[in-house]
This record gives sequence, C-alpha cells and structure tokens, in this order.
Amino acid sequence: MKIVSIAILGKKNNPLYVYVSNEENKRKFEYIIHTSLDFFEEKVPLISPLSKKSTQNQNDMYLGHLFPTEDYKVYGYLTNTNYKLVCIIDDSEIKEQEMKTLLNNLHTILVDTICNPFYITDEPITSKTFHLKILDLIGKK
Amino acid sequence: MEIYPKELREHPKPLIGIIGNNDIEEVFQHTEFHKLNFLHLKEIDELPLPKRKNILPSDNYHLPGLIKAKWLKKHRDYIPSVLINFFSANDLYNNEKRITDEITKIKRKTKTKSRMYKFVIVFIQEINNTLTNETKEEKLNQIKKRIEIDSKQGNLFLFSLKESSLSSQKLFTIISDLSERFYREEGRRVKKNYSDIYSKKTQHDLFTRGNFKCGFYSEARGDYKNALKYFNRSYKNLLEIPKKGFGLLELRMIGFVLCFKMISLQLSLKNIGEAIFIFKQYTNNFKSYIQRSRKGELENLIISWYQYKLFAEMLEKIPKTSLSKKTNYWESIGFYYHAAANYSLERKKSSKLLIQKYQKELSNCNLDSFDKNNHIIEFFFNIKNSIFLCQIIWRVRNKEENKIELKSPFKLNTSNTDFSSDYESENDNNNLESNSNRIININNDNNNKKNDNNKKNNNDKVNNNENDDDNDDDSNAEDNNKNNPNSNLVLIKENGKKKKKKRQTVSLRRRSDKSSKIYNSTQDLFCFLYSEQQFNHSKEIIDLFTRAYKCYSQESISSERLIHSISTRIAIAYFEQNEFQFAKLLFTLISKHFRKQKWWKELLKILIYSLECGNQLDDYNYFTNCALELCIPKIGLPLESRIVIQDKLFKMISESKEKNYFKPPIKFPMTKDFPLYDLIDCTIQFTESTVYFNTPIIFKFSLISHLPKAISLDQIQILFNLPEYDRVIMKSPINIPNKEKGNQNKEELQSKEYIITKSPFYFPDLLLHPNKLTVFTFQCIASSAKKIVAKAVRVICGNEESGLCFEWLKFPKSINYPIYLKTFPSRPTSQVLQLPANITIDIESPQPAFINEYFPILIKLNSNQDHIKNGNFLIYFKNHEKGEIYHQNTKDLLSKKKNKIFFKEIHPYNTINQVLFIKSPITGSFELLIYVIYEHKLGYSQISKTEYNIKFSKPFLKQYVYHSLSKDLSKDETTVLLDKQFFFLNLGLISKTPIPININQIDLILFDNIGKIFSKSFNPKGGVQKLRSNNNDNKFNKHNVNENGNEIENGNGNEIEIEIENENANENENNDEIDDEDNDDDNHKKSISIKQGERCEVFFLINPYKVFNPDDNKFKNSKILPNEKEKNVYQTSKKVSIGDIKIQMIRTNPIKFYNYYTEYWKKKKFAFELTLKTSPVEFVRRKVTMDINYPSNGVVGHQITCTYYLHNHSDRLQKIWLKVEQSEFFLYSGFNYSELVLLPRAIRKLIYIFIPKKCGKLPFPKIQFFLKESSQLLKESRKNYHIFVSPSKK
Repeated sequence: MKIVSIAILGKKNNPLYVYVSNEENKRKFEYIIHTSLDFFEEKVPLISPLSKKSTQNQNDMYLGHLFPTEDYKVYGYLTNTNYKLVCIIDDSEIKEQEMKTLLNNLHTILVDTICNPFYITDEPITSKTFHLKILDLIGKK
Repeated sequence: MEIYPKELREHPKPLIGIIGNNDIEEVFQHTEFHKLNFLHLKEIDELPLPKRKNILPSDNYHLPGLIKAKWLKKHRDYIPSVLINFFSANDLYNNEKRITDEITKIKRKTKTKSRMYKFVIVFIQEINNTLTNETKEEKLNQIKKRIEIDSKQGNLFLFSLKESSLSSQKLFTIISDLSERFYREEGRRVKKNYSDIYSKKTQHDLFTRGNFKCGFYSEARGDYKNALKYFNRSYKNLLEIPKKGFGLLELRMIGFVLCFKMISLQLSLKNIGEAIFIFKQYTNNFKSYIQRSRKGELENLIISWYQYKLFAEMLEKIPKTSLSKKTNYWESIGFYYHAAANYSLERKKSSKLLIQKYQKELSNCNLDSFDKNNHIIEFFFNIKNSIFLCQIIWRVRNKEENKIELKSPFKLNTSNTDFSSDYESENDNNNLESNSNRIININNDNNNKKNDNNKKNNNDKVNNNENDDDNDDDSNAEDNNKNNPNSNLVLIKENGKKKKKKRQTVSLRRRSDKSSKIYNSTQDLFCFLYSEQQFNHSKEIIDLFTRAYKCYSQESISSERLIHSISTRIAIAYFEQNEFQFAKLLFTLISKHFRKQKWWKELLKILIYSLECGNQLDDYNYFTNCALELCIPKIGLPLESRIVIQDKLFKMISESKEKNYFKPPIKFPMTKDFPLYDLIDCTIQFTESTVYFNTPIIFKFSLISHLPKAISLDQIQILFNLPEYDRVIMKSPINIPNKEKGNQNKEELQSKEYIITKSPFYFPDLLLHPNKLTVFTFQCIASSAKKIVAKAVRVICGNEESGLCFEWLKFPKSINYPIYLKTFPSRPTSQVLQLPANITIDIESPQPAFINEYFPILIKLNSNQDHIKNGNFLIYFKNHEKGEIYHQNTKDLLSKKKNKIFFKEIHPYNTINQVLFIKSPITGSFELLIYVIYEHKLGYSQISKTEYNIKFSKPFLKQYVYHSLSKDLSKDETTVLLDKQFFFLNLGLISKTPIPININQIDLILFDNIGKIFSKSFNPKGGVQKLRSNNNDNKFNKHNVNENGNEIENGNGNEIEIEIENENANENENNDEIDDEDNDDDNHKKSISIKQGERCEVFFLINPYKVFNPDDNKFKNSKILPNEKEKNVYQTSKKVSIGDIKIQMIRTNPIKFYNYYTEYWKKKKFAFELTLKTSPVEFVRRKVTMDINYPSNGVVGHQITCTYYLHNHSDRLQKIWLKVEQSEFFLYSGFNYSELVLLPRAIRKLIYIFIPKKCGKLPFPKIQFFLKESSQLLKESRKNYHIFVSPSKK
C-alpha cells in the first residue's frame, strides 16, 4: 500500500490539511479530494442511526472505500464532529483493517491538534508537529 | 470505436469458399446465409494450403511474437471452412466421368495433412428437368460410394430450382454443419498439437497463442461460452509469461486484444458485470508494471486512454435496460469517459514534453509519405503492433490491391540519435520496454543499412524456419507458389509480366541487435510523435469530459462536485484551445462553487485562468474583478505575485484610459456575490450605547486595506438605516490618527483635521497603506428617536480624475459584518413625557346615526402654547369591530392594522381638525376608543383617552309617494294634460319609532320648466289637515292662475316650503306656532311630530304648463337635462319624473363652525335629510285646445258676451266641427252647426252673445267642438259653466 495523499476536511467541507506525496500531481489529488465529498454525503445517511439502511456499527466512523479512480483508491473516515479524513492510495490490494487502523490513528492526531488552544477552529492546520506526525504515520519520516 | 480493428471488433463468421463463378442467387436466398462470409475462388488451386511443417519440439523454444497480426485476418478472409462447387444435374448422366474427376480433385485438394477443408458439391436441377428427384438421389449415392466420400468431409447436394426455398434451407444446414465441424476439428487439432508438444509450465507464450486460436475457432462457430473459456486461458497464460522475454507493450497489447474479445463476448451474452470485472482485472494486471517501469509513458497513456474510451463506448452501446438501475462507480459509463479524459490529459502533457525535446530532429525528418490522416491508435495497430506481432497488416492490405508497396514513413536522416534510451530502453533489467527487440527491417534506400540487414536476415533464416513454421503457419497462395522464403527478392506479378524486384521484406531480429533496435525505435518514435503533433488533444479532452459530464448527470450516483471538477477540466481545455469566451463562462460558474465551499486553492487556479481570459477578451471589468480577488490574502497567492497583479491592474487601467476604452473612473460596486470585502475591511463603533435627543452621536470608523500596495483613499460614505443620517452635517473636526507604530506619516496625519459638512467625506491626499489601521472619528447630532444602524459603507479608493478609482459597497448586515451598533436602547414603555404644550381634544358628531350611512366625527386638537414638531401625534382607535372607519379626504378604509393617523406638528394656538367617517352595516352601539398620543424618541405621552359611543339605528320613517291625476277625473284618465290640467302628488309618511318625529320641512323640488305647485297639505293620521304655504300665492284652494294665465313663481323658483300645522292633539302648540309663523327665524320650531304608527299625507297640487322641448335653451341649463341617449326618449315619450321630495329635520342644537372644515359643516345643518324621487307621470299635449271666457253674472234680457278661444298647437291645418245645443235659459243667434278651419299655430276667437231669459244660477248652453279628422271632442278645463242672472231693473 502506497499512500499518495491524505486530506482533512472541515465541518463546512473546507480543506484544513492536504498532504500530497507527489507535488506534480497535486492538482489531480485536490480534485479527487474535493470529489470525495460527494461520496461522504452519499454515505452519511447510511451510517445515520435513524437510517433503516444502516448496516454499519453506529460508532464506526470508518466509511471504507469511497470510490475508485483510474489509478487510485479513495478511503474515507467521518468523525463525530463532522471532520472528514480522506486517504488516497495507489490501486493495489490492501487489507481493510490496515486502512481502518491508519485512519483511526489519523483521527487521534487530529484530535490532539484541535485540542491545542492556539488552533482556531475550522482554520487550515499549519502546525509543523502535525505535519511530522502525519509523515510518521505514513512512514515517510 | 471505428478505429478499433474490424477483426477484433466483430465476432468472426464462418468463411465459405465458392469455387468458380457459378454464383446462383436462388441458392443463397435463405435468410440465414447472412451469418456466413463468402470467398470467391476461381479455381480450387487458389485454396491457400498450410506450409510444410518442420516442428522441432523443444522445451526451450519460445515464440518470437505472441500472436501474428495477419492470423486473424487470414482466417476471417482467406481460409474457408467449406468449399462449394456447382454442377448441373444433367451432367450426372451426360458427363458423369468429368464430374467424378472434379470431385476427386476437390477431395484430394481439401484433404491435407494438417487441415481438413470441407466441401459441398451442389447439383443444380433445372425447372424443366424431367427426371425425378429420387432417380437423381440414387445416382448421387452411387457416385458417393464410388468416390468414397466421407460425410464428415463433404457432401453432394441436389438443389432443385423448383423448390428453391426448401433446397436453400437444406443447403444452409449442410454448410453450417460442415463449417462447425471444420472449426471444431481445427480447434481440437491445435489443442492436441500444443498439449502434445509443449510444456504448460514453461512455454506460456505458446499456450497463449494456442488458446487464442481455439477461442477464435469456438467464436467462429458461435460457441461463445467455449470461446470465453479459451480466451480466458490464453489471458492467464499471457500473465504467466516472464516479462523479460517479451516487451511490456506487446504483452499489454495482446492482453488488450484478449480482454476486449472477452468483454465483447460477455456483452453479447449480456453479462455486464462480468465484462466490467474483466476490464478491471486487465487494467489492474498491467497497472503495476507500468507504474514500476515509468518508461514508454506516452505509449502507455495512449493505450490506457484508448482502452477506457473503447470500453465506455462499448458500454454505451448496450441498451439501457440491460444496465442495472442503481449503478456504482465502476458501472458508471461516465467513469470510463472520465478516466479516458484523464489519460488524455496526461498524454497531452507527456507528448508535449517529448515533442519539445525532439523538436529539432523532428523538423529534419521527412515524413511526407506518412499518412497524415492516420489516427494514432491505427498507427499502433498497424505499425507498432505489427512489430510485436511479427507481421505487417498494411502489407496485407496493399496486397489486396495487387501491390506490394510499403508506404513506409521511415525515411530517417539521422541515424545516430541516442534518444531511444530515454524513450525505449535502458540497461535496466526491470525495464520491460527494453525487451521489445523484434524489429522490422525494411530494405529501403538506405544503403548504409543494407549489408547489415542482409547479414542479419541470413541469421534469421533458421529462426524463421523454426519459429514461423509452427503447426499451422500459413502463407498466402502467392507466397507459397512464387516466392522463395529464404530470398529477399520477390517476384511480383504486375501487368501480366514477371519482374524481379528487390523485395521489401519483413524479418525478425535477434534481441541482441541493438543497432537495428535503435534505428527502428527512432523511426517509430518519429511517426509516433508526428501523429501526436497532428492530434487535436484539446478537442479530444473536451469531448471526453463532456461525455463524462453527460453520463454523470444522467446517472443516479451522487456527483455534484465531480461534475464541477469535470467542468473545470473542460474550461481549462477550452482555455488551452484559445476559446476564451467559453472558458470564461465556465470559470465564472465554477468559481462560485469553490468560493462558496471555501476551496481557495482551487479558486486560485481558476482565477488565474480567468484573469488571462479577461486579458485575452479585453474584458476589463472581468479582468479587474479577477485581479482584485487574487489580491485577497486568503486566496493564497504569494505577496510578490499579488504586487505584480496590482501593478498590472493599475497599468491596464491607465492604458485603457488612454485608449478611451471606458470613461473614468471605474467603480466596482461589490455585490454580495462578489466577495471582495476582505480587500478593505471596515468597522464602525459607536462610543456610547445611548444618546439623548439633540445630543451628539460620536462614532469611530476604522479602515484597513489588505491590498499588497498602498492606495489612495478618496471618499467614504456611511449609509445608515435612517437616510437623514447619510448626509449628516458634521459640526466637529475629525481626527485621523494612524495607530501603526513607526509610521512616518503618523504626525502628519494626526496634525490634519478635516471639517466635513456633508457626506461623502473626501480625502484626496490620504494613502491607505496595506495592513495598517486608519481610524476616523465622526460626530453627528441625534435627531431621531429610532435606533441607528450603519447598514453599508461605501469606500472609494483612488482618484476620479486619474481614473484609478475603486468603489466598495459593503453590506455588513447581510454578511454579519460587525458594523452594527444602535445608538438607543429599546424604548422604555413606561416612560411618559411631559409635553411642552397643553393640548386639548374635543370630539363632535351629529345625531342620529343610521346604518349604511357615513357618520362623521370631528376630532380637534388644540395647542395653546408652543410649537410642537419633534414628535408624532397619533390618533389611535380601538373597538371598532362593528363598523368601518374611513379617512375624511380619501374615504380610504382605515383597517384594524392601519388604525392610526399621524400629525407631525401642531402650530401654536392653532387647531388640528380631523374628520373621520364611520359606517356601520348593523344597528347597535358602536364604542369607539380614541387615544391621542404624542410619540417622541425619548418616550411617549398619552394626551387623552376618550370613549365615544355611537348608536346606529335603522331609518325611522317610512315614506311612500304616489300621484293622482285629479280628484274629479275618472279613473280612465292616465295622462295629464299639459297647461290645462292639475294633478296631485301625494307623500305618505309613517313613523316607525316610539319617539315622536318632528318634521320641520317638506319640500317638493320640481325640475325646471315642468309646472307650478299650487298647494300642499299635511294630513297626519290620514285625516284632512289644514295646510298652508309659506307663499301666500300658493295657498291651498287657490287653484287658479291669474287671469292672464301667467305663472306665479315663488321666491325659490319651483321650490316651495310649507309650514305645517297639526289640528289634532297639539292645538295649543299649533296655535302658538301659527302665532309665531311670521317669525322666519323660528321656522325650525314649527315642526310637527308624528307618533308611532301614525300616518300623515302631504298633497301637492301641480299644474304642468311647460312643453317638454329638449332643445330648449332653458331646458339645457336644467338639472334634469337628459343626456344624448335620453333625449330621444323625451322626444318620443313624455312620461317623466317631475322632481324630488326632500324631507328635512333641522338640527335642534346648532353646531359651531370651525375654520378648518367649515365647508363640510355648513352643509350639515340638518340632523336628518331625506330625498325621495317621484314616480314618473305621463304628460300629454293636445293638438287643439279650447278655452272660454265669460262674465260671472248677468241680467235678464241683457246681452252676455261669451268668448271661445281655439288654439291650434300643431303645424297642420285643423278642421273643427262646432255644435251648439239648445238651452231653455238663453236666447242666442248663429249657426247650430258650423265648420271652422284653424291655421297652424293660430288662435281663433269665437264670440257668442247670449240673452238670459230667466234669473238664478243658470248653466251656459253647451257648445261642443270636435276635431273633424278624429271626431274627438275638445274638452274644456272646467266641466260646468254657470252664471248668476239677476232680474232686470225696472
């Protein structure tokens, strides 16, 4: 599994943090991340406790595979506070559990950052510590 | 999709060979024959035969190429499964030997060692043939036995033209059976050969080929499931092939062919899910290789683009009913178009880089002979693929035209290029592209290469024998018969002559031959790049994205942002194609979405494109808007770039001003949709939360610019919710301090003081530095009690003269901007003001009030002291649910909500009179609460609260009017004779109330020129009453006019007023009234009361004397002047209304008149006023009238002169008969009968002299006048004429 991009989107769907492994394809990934919001919106009713179609565990914030592109796979994670975590990997086979763990860890890092009193809610995350933690998470440190 | 090779695109059909030219239409009339393909062979010798096999089974043997390119075409177009030959049925008997020889030859020819062709010999039986079918069948069986024809190999068939349809059907069955058998046998043979000879574990390339062939044979015989099985096996074998042995591109292309074969079969079987799975599998299998290699990127991109596009088109062709309703992303056709478009984008980028890199070499390359219209993918299939498939398809095509002429594009001038290492191969083992080492070597004019090639060809001979001649390697007939495979010289049949020419051969090279590899790779690259250069990438990208857009829009998956993303790509493609108008349109639409979503980075890119669009289109407004938005810090453009953009913007404006593109200054009112608020930020703060009336309001206005460079501030205007503050007069100087530390202009700014008289405030010499706060202090006088809110701020930067002027209009409230502070808290409801003046209220109204009539109320406000102007006086009504209140002047209904009337000021010692009308549809008490309130910004004051009670009642008096023509007239009389006849008009009044009604005055107002009222009488209780007229001349019983017949007019024209006396109960009172009758001022006291249930009647005696002449001038001035329509009615009918009766009750307590509304109250001196219209009366005018004049007394024996007047009113001559009756009292002389003639409009006077014979009251002798034409008796106005005759004096 090769993580090519990680993004954190705010409550109002605005980007808070975008990491792209290959800067050349940054625009392409940004489009993919933006498009992924469609699939978040599509999947949210399915995990709602009121939904009859709900098949997932209601406490499970991992949305799984959102959609494929020609070269990549996009995975999503929706926090209870409506933050959206997007992970784009290359089109290789991966284990679901592996991705789930990764996004859970990403969520933990995000919570730590948001708890920082100097962070302004819904503003882009510029913390270097956060960035280093992300790099550590995806094994690029 | 058309560019996809036909042999790959379509399912193969069994090929049937027809020998000779005996193509008979009737034979192939059966409809099923379209499932077959036909090949015409002149002779049986043209049948292509397999080469001699020279199989060397070896575990180390590998194919030079996986699948031969021409193999598919060969089996589709050249190798028939069944051969058909036609003979006449007559030959069975006539020429039996020849037939057996021919069949034997065919049998021998078709039965080769490696391939068993099938054949059918068709005997055509003519219609007129006399032999029976049974006889011929016997003959055919005999021949079969004699020649030993196996039914598995061939068959003899008797085709009867008589029963052609049936025969055709039978023949098709035979042919299709044999064809199926042929392909099955071929498949088995191939399968057996491969499994017997080669190893499945190691020789995957051979099994790939073998299974592909088996799949093809199965597909040809229509067994799609079996075909799928073989193609799948072939594909699996392909994946097992070691990547070092074959080029990745070759593997990928073969995989592509196999994959799309399987997909087309699955789609034919309507297994869409399976088809998608195969496609996914294929793309996944090769993706990793491509990503790993990162070489030959452009080729991969092109193939990826093509395969996605092709698959999308294949899916699109499926009927929509076959697709499942709810699609996921993989089942969306749009996804494949989208992916194809993305690859197309990448391809464009990659090819651009390569073309730039080899621009010089490409310009030196002669590519004239290359087909410029050739599509790039065709190039791949025809040229590039051919390298790996060991064959050249184009050669096969050219052969169809009996030419072997290679249109080679390879005329390379530079042979020492070393770029192939970048493009094609490196010495990297992982680089799979480097293994593409089977190369076409074409012996062209390049002499330098010839020798080298010859050597290499010799080396290849062995390989050709070994490798090409595997178990079914065929060559065409021409190659078999005329060419030596080991020679590079080819004999070409051209114009019937054999010529020896140098053959342009196709040969395979060893992998180790690097020079050839480079050479051919270079050629390929140039052709490839040339094609790419010619290709319109933008058009393709737009097309694909547009298709994806349409598909996503139609499909059920959520794709709002996806569509925006696609729209962005389309817009960029338009931009790159220099179609800026479209690009601008799309960018404008998309930017809204990203702005709303706060995706600044995406917006930034769009804005940069938009800026350029505006520049290219000379759209200065658009350019300016984009440039300004780019200057906003949060968009994310670096400061340097923002400075550049601002400079560019100012430069553009100054240039455009010089060019007179637009008139300065440019003002940009920034609307809500165009959020440039962040460029200039402003706040307003009021220093105090509450100020008092007439005290100064101080507020501070701060401004900060986020533009990258300083701009000059020109104007500021602050717009409040109350427009009077927008242009408020400033009384105090304004300090403009700059809080920025270290600012050089600090002292200078602080020292300046601006005295501003009105808004907008001009600051011609003030610079707004970036990110530096500038604070202004303003002051104005509170002149309103309402809360003040700064609603908008207009900031104009720049100088209007120079043309650099930007205007920001901000709407802080609508965007929750912090410019919001009220000056006053909400008004305390308990606060009561002490008014500076004493204001009193007085309310007056008449009585009684009747339902459905306007009832007036006068409200007066009196101020006895100061001029009160700084507030509102409010008259407020309550509890008027039962009725409606109308405004005095407009008669507008004051609804329950709008139940207030405002006055702005009351002048000292003056009165405000407000009249309202109240109307009630029902009877009852109407309670009106009237509040008069003085409202001020600091509070309010209730001046008065008045409860006013009005009782609405029904009208109390019932009236009826009728007329009787005369008391003495017979009932038959229905008309009134003008001039000569009186009639009565009766008015009846009945009281309905218990309260006695005092009627003061009853008037009959006749219309002009109708007649004269002589008397009227009043009769309560229906009894006879004495009635007197005001005018002595019109007293009752004075029924005569004066002697001359002149009218007696009273002082009021036709109107008379009467005084009424009651003879009944109130005699004393009446007496008093009579005594006081001379006192005109006390007229109102002379009223008569009518008690409940009483009835009184008033009689009017009227003598109509006027002729109705509508054209009369007097009549024209009359109130009853008929309009034009009515005129005709008056002329033809004389039935008209004579006037109105007005009943009035004079107000008992006279009201005072006020200056303000005097006119109204003057008219209202009556407490009750009622007007009744009289019923119409028909008036008649006679043609001739008669009148008589005689003395009232006489003496016996003395003459009495009696004069008769005959008056002709008509315009004609009138003849009159006269008859005098005898009388016993008088003597007279003259004719008893006579005839008179009356001239038109003439009066004739007749004088009779009577001598009375007796005394006493004597009747005159009767003299009757008749109209001769109608025998109508002319009546006199009086019926009996008497005279008192006194005795003679002795």
